[in-house]
Amino acid sequence: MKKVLLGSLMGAALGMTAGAAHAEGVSINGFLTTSVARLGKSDVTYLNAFTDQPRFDNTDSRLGLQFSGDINEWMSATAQLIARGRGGNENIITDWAFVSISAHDDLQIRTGKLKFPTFLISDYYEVGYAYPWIRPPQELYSLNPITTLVGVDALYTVPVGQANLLLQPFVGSNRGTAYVSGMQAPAFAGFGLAAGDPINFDAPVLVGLNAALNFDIGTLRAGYLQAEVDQAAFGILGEKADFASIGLTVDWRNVVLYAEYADRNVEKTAIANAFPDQQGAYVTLGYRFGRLLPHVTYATMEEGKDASPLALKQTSTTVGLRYEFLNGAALKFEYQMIEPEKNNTGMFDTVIEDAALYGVSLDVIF
Amino acid sequence: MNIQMKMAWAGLLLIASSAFGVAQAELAIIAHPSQKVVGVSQDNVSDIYLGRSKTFPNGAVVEAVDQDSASASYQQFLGKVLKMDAAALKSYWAKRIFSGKAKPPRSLGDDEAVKKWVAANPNGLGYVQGKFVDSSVKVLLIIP
Repeated sequence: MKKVLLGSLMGAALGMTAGAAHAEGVSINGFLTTSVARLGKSDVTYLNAFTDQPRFDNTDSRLGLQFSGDINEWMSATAQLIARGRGGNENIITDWAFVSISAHDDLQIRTGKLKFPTFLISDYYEVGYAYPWIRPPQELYSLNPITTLVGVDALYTVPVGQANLLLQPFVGSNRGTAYVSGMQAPAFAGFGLAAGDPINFDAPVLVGLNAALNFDIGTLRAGYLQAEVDQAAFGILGEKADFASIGLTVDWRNVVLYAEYADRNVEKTAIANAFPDQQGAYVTLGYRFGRLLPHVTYATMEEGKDASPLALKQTSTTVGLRYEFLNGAALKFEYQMIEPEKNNTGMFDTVIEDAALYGVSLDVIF
Repeated sequence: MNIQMKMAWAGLLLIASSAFGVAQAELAIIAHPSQKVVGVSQDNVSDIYLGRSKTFPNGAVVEAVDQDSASASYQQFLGKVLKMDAAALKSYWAKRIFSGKAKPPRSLGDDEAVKKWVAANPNGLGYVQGKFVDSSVKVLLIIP
C-alpha cells in the first residue's frame, strides 16, 4: 500500500479540493497474474484459449491497478484498471470506477461501474492471489458472461450474533460478449459463426440481490440476478435470463473449503439458443501446511431446467498447489483432467473424450 | 461476571496502568484521553481493525491506525488480537480492497508515532507496547 503525494495533484486534476482535510492522497494497490498453460491434446482448444502450444499471453495473465481516494468525510472514489495479456494493444479496461457514499455506519451506497456478485468470488475474480486455483472453476464461473454493470449498489451490514450479514441489492445495465461454444457451432454456421467467435449482446437491465453471512471462519452466501437481454441478429429482444446461486467458503484450522452451486434459467424463446439453461457446481478441499496449500477440486456442468441440445456437459478434477513463497506472492501449479460427456464438447471447441490441462501461475498483490 | 464487576475491573486496570505503567511484554490498546467508551473487548478491537466495524460498542465513530509490518508490536497484535498470520491477513485485505468494500487502517510506523497520533485525535485508536503508555493516552485494554 502506497500513499502517494501525487494525490493532491490528481485531486486538483479531478476538480477536487486538494486542501480538504480528508484529501490525504490517493492509495494505489495492484495485483498481477502471469501464467502459462498447456493442453495435453492437440487440434483442440479449451475455453477459447488453451491449446497444446503453451502461451503466456493467455486469458489468465493480467495486471490490475486500483486507485482510491477520499473526496470528503462521507465520499470516496475508486477506479480499477485491468490490462490483459491477451487482446492486442487495446487491452486496458476499466473494471471498477465508482463513487462510494457512506450513508450510515452500516450502509454504503456505490454508483458508477461496479463488478456485481453473481457468484461467491465474482467481485474479486481478477485477484488471483486471493483464491487457491489458477482460475476459478469455469463449470460455474463461465455461466454469466457479464461481470460488471454501470449502475448502483448498496452494501448494508446487519450484525447477526457473532456474524455479519451483508445485504447487497444492485441494479444497472451493460453490454457483454459471449463466445460460440462447440455445441452451438454447427447450428450457428448459418450465421457465419464458428466455435470461439464472439457474440456481442446488450443487457439493458441487470438487477439482483447478494446476501452473504460472514462469520469467523468463513462466508455463506446466496444470490439472485435477473438480466434482460437484447441481441438483434438472434431475434432476442428483452428476454430474461435468471441466475440463482448458493456458495460456502470456510477456512478453519488449516482446512480450506469452497463449495458452490449455480443455476442459469432462461425463457424458452430465442435466448435459449444463445444461452441454454445450465447448472454448474464445484467443491474444493484443501489443507494448509504453513505456506503450502495443496487442494483438489471436483467440478461439474450440466444442462439446466429445460433440456437443450446446446447445453454444455462436462466434469473436471483439478489437483493444485498454492505456494505463498513470500508475503503477497504466490506460485500455483495445477493439473486438471477435463471430461466432457459423451457426444458433448463441454467447454472445448469440438467433441473430445478427455484432455489434461497443465498450468503454472505467479500471483502477486502490492 | 456481571457488568458492574467488569467495569470495576476495567477501572482498576486503568488505574493500575496509569499509576504503575504496564509491563513491557504487554500490548496496550490506546485511545484519546477524552474517549468515554468502557468495556471494549478484544473482539471489538479486532472488528475495527478488520474493517468490520467503524464504531466502538457505544456507537462512537473510531479511526484506527496500524504499525508497520516490521514492528514487534505489529507482529504481536497480528497473532494475539487479529489471530491471523501475515499471509491470511494479506489475503483477507486483497478480497476487501479490490472489491471496493473497505480499506485497511493506515500504517503510521512505530509505537512512538502511534502514541503521538492517538494523543492528538479524539476518535483515534491504536496499539503500543505497554512501556510507551503515558498520560497523553487512555488505555482501553491490555493484551497480556
